[in-house]
Amino acid sequence: MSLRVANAETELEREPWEEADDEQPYATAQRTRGAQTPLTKDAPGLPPPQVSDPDAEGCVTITDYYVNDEGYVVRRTRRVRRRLERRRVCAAVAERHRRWRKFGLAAAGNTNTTTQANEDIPIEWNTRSADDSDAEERGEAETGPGAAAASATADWNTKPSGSGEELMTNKSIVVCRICGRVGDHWTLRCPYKGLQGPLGELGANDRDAQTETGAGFTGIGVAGNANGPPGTNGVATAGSGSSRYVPPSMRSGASARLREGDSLYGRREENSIRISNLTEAATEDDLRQLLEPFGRVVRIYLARDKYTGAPKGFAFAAFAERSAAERCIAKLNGFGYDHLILSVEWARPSGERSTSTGTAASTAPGLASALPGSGAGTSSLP
Amino acid sequence: MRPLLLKGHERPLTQLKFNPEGDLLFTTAKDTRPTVWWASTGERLGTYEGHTGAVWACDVFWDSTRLVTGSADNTARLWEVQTGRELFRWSLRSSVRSVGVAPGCRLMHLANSKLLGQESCIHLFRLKPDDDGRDQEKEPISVFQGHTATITAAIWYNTAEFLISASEDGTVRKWDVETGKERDHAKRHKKAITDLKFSKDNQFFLTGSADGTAVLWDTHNMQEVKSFVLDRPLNAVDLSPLMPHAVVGGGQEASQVTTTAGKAGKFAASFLHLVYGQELFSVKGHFGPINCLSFTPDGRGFASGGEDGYVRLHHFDEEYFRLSSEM
Repeated sequence: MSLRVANAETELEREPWEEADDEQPYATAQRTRGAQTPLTKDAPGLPPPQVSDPDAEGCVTITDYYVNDEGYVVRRTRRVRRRLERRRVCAAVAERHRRWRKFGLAAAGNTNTTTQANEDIPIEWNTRSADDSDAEERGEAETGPGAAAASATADWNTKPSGSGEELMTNKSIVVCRICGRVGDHWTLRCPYKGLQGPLGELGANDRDAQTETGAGFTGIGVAGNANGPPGTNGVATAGSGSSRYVPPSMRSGASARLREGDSLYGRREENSIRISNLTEAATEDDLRQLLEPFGRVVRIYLARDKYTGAPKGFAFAAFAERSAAERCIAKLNGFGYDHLILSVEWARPSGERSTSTGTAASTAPGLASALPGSGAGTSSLP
Repeated sequence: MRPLLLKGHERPLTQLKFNPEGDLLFTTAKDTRPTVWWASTGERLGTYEGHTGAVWACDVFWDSTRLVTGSADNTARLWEVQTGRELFRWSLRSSVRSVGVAPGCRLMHLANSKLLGQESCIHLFRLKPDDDGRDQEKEPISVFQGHTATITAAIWYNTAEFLISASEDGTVRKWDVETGKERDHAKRHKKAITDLKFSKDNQFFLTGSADGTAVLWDTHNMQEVKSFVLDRPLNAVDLSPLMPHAVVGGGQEASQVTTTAGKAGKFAASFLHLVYGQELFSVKGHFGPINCLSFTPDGRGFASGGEDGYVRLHHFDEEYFRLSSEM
């Protein structure tokens, strides 16, 4: 019995799904959208399957026909991305992959039902022992994003205001959208670009205003203490007088909100905004960081390409408060984010969207053409 | 990680075995169908039809041509891996719990359960390396007797000089193949030992037990090198061939799963550092206890089989190698 683990390596080329006609292995399964359309009963013969040329994303469209359980001929349209993976393996393995055929139940069954790769399982690193985890969490709460934003705001308050007044007299048309300086630089060249400072300050100011009217959520705590002595804003004004957590329903202004019927989730459609011209690098977390200074964010939806998973450049977000959404639009529309200038507007109800998705369609090519044939699938066979 | 979910079995998994090159994965379960999968893509390659009882264990020849499976139908069967053809059948007096082909493929052991009035023994068989494989000896050449409870696992040392067995009586024993005598034995676990695996160089082996401990042993003097205490009964262990890591898995017993909250089950596979002794990370996914675990022979992935009937085949992300080397 000789060992067949040869030193010589041969190249294994294998498309994992080049198997029997009717089978569609796992690798293609997640990127496949099937459209099943009954055609005619008792068709004389099934048309041959058609395979289109690869499109820009490397996907091919396979159209084939089969007879289902009820005797109907069904056209099946599948969009499949084929990826050829080359791997160097030893001779015995290459031989097995080339020669061996499926047997037993595997020869009859469909690979889709036995093999799936759907969910992403993160490795959960255990980096700290149980004892110090509590302490670390407490530490993070103190030195977390709130404190960082507060220090950024402090910087912001001291630096530009000194020379800003002199520049005001210039009456230049060049106004920086980030720091508000006139005539000094374009928005693109703002030294404060990318800092959360201006946004944080705005958020804090607005929250002060909103606690006066008693309509807003408090206790978000971004840059809260940078603008005045404790007790003038933030959690303290919510009526508890201490730093303990106060549930939203117990805070001042809660009863007024309830009387208006302004529940948190009921009106989120109305408080939705649409953010477009987003950079592809932005994630849901980035968006949350960007939007949270304005108020409580109920929902964030970042549109992604169905096949590649890459962001399509626009997102929807809903605030709990309409006023927060208004402030967000006022501030973020035209705000430079990464290398792009954001466009923020009210989200239109889904009924109107078909006429207004011009920008979306231009940033997401191929969606409309993703399923050729599935729309016109009701035609009968000759 | 995006694990491949292999859904070929209808009953709880009992063993996973990669062939030496790591391109085939053999799985056995309490249904009657041992199954082989392409390890790279997770495609099912074939099933071995014939057993009439739960299949407890399997082992594959070094050259991946033959597979031996042991079943609760009191038989062990020899299969042609490529076609699924049954070549030979050995019969014992009770269900076959453990199967192991010795390095060199000239010898094989079968261990039976302590059932039906039979003692749990290791039966040593001679394998004939002919082309057809149909002509084998029906009778064992020797029987190793000594365990007082069912032998759950037995593994061959890489020179085929001795083999080590673990049992539900909590002991590990070392058997001399030439003489059939017990060379050594040790007891460290309070409850049944559920799994036993060698390190790649065979100088250590790891045992996992229902008492929630895993113990690393020195193969030669049978002394404990290190022990790990976990918060759940263990059903499966394995040692990484690439990193100083072990993976252990288990969870509360299947009979109690429905009586407690889902989170209390602790069905994650935990990775332990052999030197530091601490848990590095865990990988979730099964919704029942993990019954079997195996690293791929190159150490770049692992497979787990659960009481839920699923095999999850994981290929590690780069993150695993990067963060493991920083540690």
